Amino acid sequence: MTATDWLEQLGFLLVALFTLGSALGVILARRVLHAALWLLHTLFGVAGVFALLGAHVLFAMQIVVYVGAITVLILFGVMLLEDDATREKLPGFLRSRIPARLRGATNIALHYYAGMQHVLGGVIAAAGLFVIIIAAVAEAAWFSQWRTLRPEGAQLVGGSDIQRIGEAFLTKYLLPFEVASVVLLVALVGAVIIARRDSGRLEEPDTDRPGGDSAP
Amino acid sequence: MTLPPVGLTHYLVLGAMLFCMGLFAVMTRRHAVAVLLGIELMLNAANINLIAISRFLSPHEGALALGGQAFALIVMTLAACEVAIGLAIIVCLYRNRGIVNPDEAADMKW
Repeated sequence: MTATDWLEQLGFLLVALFTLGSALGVILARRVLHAALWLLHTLFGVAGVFALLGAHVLFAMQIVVYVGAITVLILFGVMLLEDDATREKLPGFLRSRIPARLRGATNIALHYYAGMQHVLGGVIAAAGLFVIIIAAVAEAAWFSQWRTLRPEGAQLVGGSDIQRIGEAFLTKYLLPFEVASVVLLVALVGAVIIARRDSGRLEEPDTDRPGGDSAP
Repeated sequence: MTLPPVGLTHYLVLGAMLFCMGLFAVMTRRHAVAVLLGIELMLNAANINLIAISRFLSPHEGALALGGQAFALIVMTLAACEVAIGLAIIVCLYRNRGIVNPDEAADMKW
């Protein structure tokens, strides 16, 4: 085992631990603001995974688009909701049923449980899906030995990654590229319309319309 | 002690873990924005899988070998759309109804 192998092992281990640890923060943090900040760390970790995979363009895009735009958008959204809405409340039936002397012992578990519901179903579904995926991966690895066609990875000759990706988007993947831009446009216009102040309010008549029947 | 070299299986297992954590967040969180964060985790897990499979198993050369990366870029675009629309719906729901728990918004449930 050479030194580069050890370095790759160590790098993968560190990046994977960082990613999974901050993902744990996302699913356990009680306040949504904290969960969003943990998500920021997770996205940095995923960017590190992309770098390990040799996808340098994706590494940059992950940081610019995900960390720089999507997370900031989520943080703005969390802050637009008022403060008591971002703090998930302890369910009332739990608060009343726990005796005072047990409160210290169960405090930590309750702290994490407070932001959740249907925990048993979530655990069963997530663990079951994980087992199924791992079984499938193991099966495929055992049968095909991952007929790895390019074991050395994306060591391709000529041009940079970004040049080849740009080429691919304007030739072979032109249609998905254009459709994605149309989807982006529609989504942004739709988001503006949905989030407008007077949308979704059906029961109240429009009182401030000039010339309406509500004028005195 | 010799560990196996970092290969496709490592990345697929990492993606599976991240996806299941995202699924857990989607199913259990009481706040709609936290559910959105879980969806982001799942999309990132899918991106890891796409890029890993494209790197290790792609039979192509040149521009075609980057199919997984191109696909991941499109997934990122759609994730941005999804976050914008989702946040708009959540803010609208909270402003008009005072609801942030997705389980409470069950008016259309049969």
